[in-house]
Amino acid sequence: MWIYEKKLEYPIRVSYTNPRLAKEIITQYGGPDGELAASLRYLTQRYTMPISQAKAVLTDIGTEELAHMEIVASLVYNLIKGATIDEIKAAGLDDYYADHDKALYFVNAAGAPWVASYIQSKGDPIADLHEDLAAEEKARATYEFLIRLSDDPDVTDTLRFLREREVVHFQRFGETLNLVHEWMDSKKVF
Amino acid sequence: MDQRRRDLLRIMELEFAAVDLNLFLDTHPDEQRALADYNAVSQELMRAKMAYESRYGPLMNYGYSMSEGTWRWVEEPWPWEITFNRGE
Amino acid sequence: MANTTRKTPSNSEPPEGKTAGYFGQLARAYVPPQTYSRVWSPAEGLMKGTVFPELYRPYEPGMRP
Repeated sequence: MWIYEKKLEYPIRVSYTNPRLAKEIITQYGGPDGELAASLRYLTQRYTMPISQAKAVLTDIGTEELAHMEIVASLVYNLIKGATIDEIKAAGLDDYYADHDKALYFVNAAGAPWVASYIQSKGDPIADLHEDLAAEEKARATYEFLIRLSDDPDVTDTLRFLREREVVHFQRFGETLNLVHEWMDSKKVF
Repeated sequence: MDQRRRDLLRIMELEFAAVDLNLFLDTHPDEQRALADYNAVSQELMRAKMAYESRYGPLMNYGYSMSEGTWRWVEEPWPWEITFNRGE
Repeated sequence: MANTTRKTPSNSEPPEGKTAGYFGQLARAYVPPQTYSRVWSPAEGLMKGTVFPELYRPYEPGMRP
């Protein structure tokens, strides 16, 4: 069960209409290292975790990633909502516009749709947690690329928040990996 | 910043602290100082949410918030329609 | 004879009373467990993206890994 809360996790600011920046940031909505992939990866891996703490971490981080997905969507929505057709064409967002108008859709920066093969759910908790650690680093790297691409300091502020969350999540997945290793060792009989 | 945004920002601050402490406690469930901080922040968050909801309507659906007079859940703005731009 | 495989090098000994995690084994990744100390206020934490000063790693463009 999930309960919706009518608030964002972070107070977003968007200085001006900027379809070019929206076209890049949307990759964190529906791209390979984006928030949809992160959330679904963790929420689907949790069922076969061997210890309760790992189930808790994947549930809670998977839930926070849904909130991040909403933040990214809100940025994109506000960056394109006032754009004219000429601005959309100039930004190269016209291909997207042809299929989606100004609606939110799960694509990467080049327009490729989200696919489940972005994520894995292996059943082996060590393998899954290593994927999760890598996913946090890839998302951190993407946010750094987006910060370099951003020409709106207000949008950059939110990108910095989202990037820092990847650092914190990496720490928690690392601690979870330690706990799973400990649990596996405790199962060994000598 | 208007009063509504100020009140909402305070809720965001408290709830964010709760999120970060929650994740810490998931991997450190016996850390009593973190637990005490989590409980303190949760209590303040509950108070802030109740005050906000009495003014601006429910923050949560499915029975977690009450709605006085009319069904205020359907009222705008939705979260993506609230920005914190300078001058708002 | 529980924990006979546990090899914890002294320089990565976990803080006393902490869940240790598993240190020092070859072919194994680990992250040092965080210990609880000071936390920022909720307001400062939200602006920085964490309430834990020791996890705050701000990024400056131009900084390369």
